[in-house]
Amino acid sequence: MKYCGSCNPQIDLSAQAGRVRQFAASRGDIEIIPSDATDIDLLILLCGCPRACADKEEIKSKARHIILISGEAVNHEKCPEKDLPHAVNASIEKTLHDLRDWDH
Amino acid sequence: MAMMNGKQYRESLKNLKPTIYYMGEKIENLTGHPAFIPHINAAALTYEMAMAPEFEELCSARSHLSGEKINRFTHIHQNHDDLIKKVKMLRAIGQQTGSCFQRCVGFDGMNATYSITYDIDKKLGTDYHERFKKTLKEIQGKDLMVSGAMTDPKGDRSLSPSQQKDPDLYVHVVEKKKDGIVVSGAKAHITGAVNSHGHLVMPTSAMRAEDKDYAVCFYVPIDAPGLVHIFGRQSNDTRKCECSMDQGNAEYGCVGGEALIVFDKVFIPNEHVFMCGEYEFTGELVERFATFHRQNYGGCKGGLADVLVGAVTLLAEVQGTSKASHVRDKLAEMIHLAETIYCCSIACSCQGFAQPAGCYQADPLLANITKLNVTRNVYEIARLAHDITGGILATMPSEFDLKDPKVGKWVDKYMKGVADVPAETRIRLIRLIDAMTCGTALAESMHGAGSPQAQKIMIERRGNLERKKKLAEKLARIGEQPFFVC
Repeated sequence: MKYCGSCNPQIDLSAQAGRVRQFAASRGDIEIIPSDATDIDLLILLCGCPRACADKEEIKSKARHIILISGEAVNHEKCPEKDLPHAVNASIEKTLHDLRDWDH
Repeated sequence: MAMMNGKQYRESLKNLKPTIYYMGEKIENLTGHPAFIPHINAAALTYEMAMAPEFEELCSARSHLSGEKINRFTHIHQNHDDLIKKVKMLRAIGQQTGSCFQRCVGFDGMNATYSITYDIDKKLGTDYHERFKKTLKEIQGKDLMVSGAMTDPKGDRSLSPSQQKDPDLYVHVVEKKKDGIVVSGAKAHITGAVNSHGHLVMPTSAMRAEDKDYAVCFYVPIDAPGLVHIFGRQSNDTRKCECSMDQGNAEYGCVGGEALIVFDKVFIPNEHVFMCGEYEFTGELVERFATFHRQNYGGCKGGLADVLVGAVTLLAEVQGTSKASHVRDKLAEMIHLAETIYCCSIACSCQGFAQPAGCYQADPLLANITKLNVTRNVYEIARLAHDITGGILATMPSEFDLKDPKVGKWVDKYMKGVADVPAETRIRLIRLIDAMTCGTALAESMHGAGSPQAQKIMIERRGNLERKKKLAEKLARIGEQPFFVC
C-alpha cells in the first residue's frame, strides 16, 4: 500500500488501510509487503482526495496491478466512504482472479 | 475549418439573424450598434489573442477529438496543465480588456456537459456523450462562441420548478417529438448571449422526480425560431451612445453584456439534446459547472485588478499623492488582494483531478473558496481605488464640458493635478476607474458564478468537519487517540 502523503484527506485513510490488512489476514493468501519492494503483484494507492497525488507513473510502474482509492472513489468510480472497504475488497478479489488466470 | 480571428468573428455574427431587443427597440444591426460594440470587441479579443504569438500558448490548445489546433475556449481540459493555463489565459485577456470577455461561461458549460454526459451514458445506456462530442467537434472546428445558459428566472424561490404557478419560470420540455424536443421558459443574466453563435442550456439546480421535465440540457443556435434575447441595462449605459472619454473603457465596456433569453416553444433536434429527464444528474452537472466557473474568477478579476492598480498608481502620480505612505500602503494592499484571488484560482487548478470521462475538473472546495474571496476582495480593491481617487470620482464634469468653447478652459484648469500633466490624462484615468468600479461592474463580482451563499453551502458540505474534530480531539486528549489522524 502506498499513501499519497495524507496532507488533507477527505476520507479516513488509516481506517481504509486497516480494512485492507484485515481482509488480507482473513484470506491468508495475501502477503502485504513494503511499497518500495520489487516484484509487487498489486499496489493499492491510498489517496485522501480526488487529486490522487500517488497516481504517478513512477509509482504505478512498480506493480503489475493497481487499485486507486482517491477520496470517495475507487479506480475513478464514485463510492461513498462507508462502501469503500467493500469496493476495494471486490477489486482485490478481481485482481487475484486475474493473477491466477495469468499464472495458468 | 479553422480558428477565427477577431475580424472573422465579427463577420460571422453578421451572417446570423438573432431576435434581439434593447431599450424597447428590435436590433437589426448588432455589430454596428454602440450598445453592443464594446462587448463584441472584448469577445473578438479572445479570437485575436489565440492567434497572437505572444498569447497562443495560453489561448489555444490541441483538440483531443480532432488533433487540430483550436481556441482554448472550446477545449476540454485534459490535464492539470490545461486547468492552470485556463486561469493564466483569463488573467492575460483580462489585463488587455479591463472588462469581461464573456467566453468562459460556455467553455465551463462544455467541460461540465462533457463529463456528465459520459456518466449518464455509463449508468443509463443513453448516447448523450457521443451526441455532445459530435456537437463539440463542430464548435471546435468552426471556433464558435457558445454562451453558457444556466440561471432560470426562478419565480418564487421557495417553490421547486414544477410547483411554480407559471411553469415557464424554469426552462422545461413542453413537447417530445420523434426527432427532438420543444422547450419553453427563459434563462436570465446570460453573459455574451447576443454576440454568441449559440447557447449551451443547462438546468439551474438539483431537480427531483417531479421536476423531470426541467432536467434538460441542450445546444441551440442563437437564431433558432422562437428564441428572443432581451438585452439588459447597465449603469451609465447611455454613455455608450453619446460620448467616448466618459465611457472610461470605450473599447471593451463594462462587464459582459447580459441578456434575458426567452424560449417560446423552441424546437431542439435530438442531436443537440444532452439530457432530457435524467433529473438525478442535474445536481452534479450544476456542481461541476459551478466549480469550473468559480475557478475562473481569480484569473479574470486578477487581470482586471492589474489594470485598476495601474490606473490608480498613475492617478496618484498625476494627483501628486504617489509618495504618501498611506497611498503606497493602499496600493500594496490592492496588489495583495488581487494576488490572493489569483493564488486561489491556481490552487484549485493544481488540486484538480481526472473524471471518469478522462477530462479534468478543478477542486470544488478550493474553487468555491476562490469565488467567495472574489465577492469580498474585488469590493475591497474597489474601495481602496475610490479612497485613493477621491470624491472627484463622483463629481467630475463631463467630456462635453471639457470640450465646450466657453467652460472648457475652466474644466481643464481646475481638473488638473501636477503641472506638467494635462487635465485630460487625469479625467481619462478617473473615468476608467469609474467604469471598472462603479455600478454594474461590482455586482458582477458578487453574483456572477453564483451568490456568496451558494459558495458557503458548498464549502460547508465539503469542509470535512468530522476530520477537523478528530484533529482537535487528539491534541486535547479527549478519549483514546491514535498517534496520527489521517
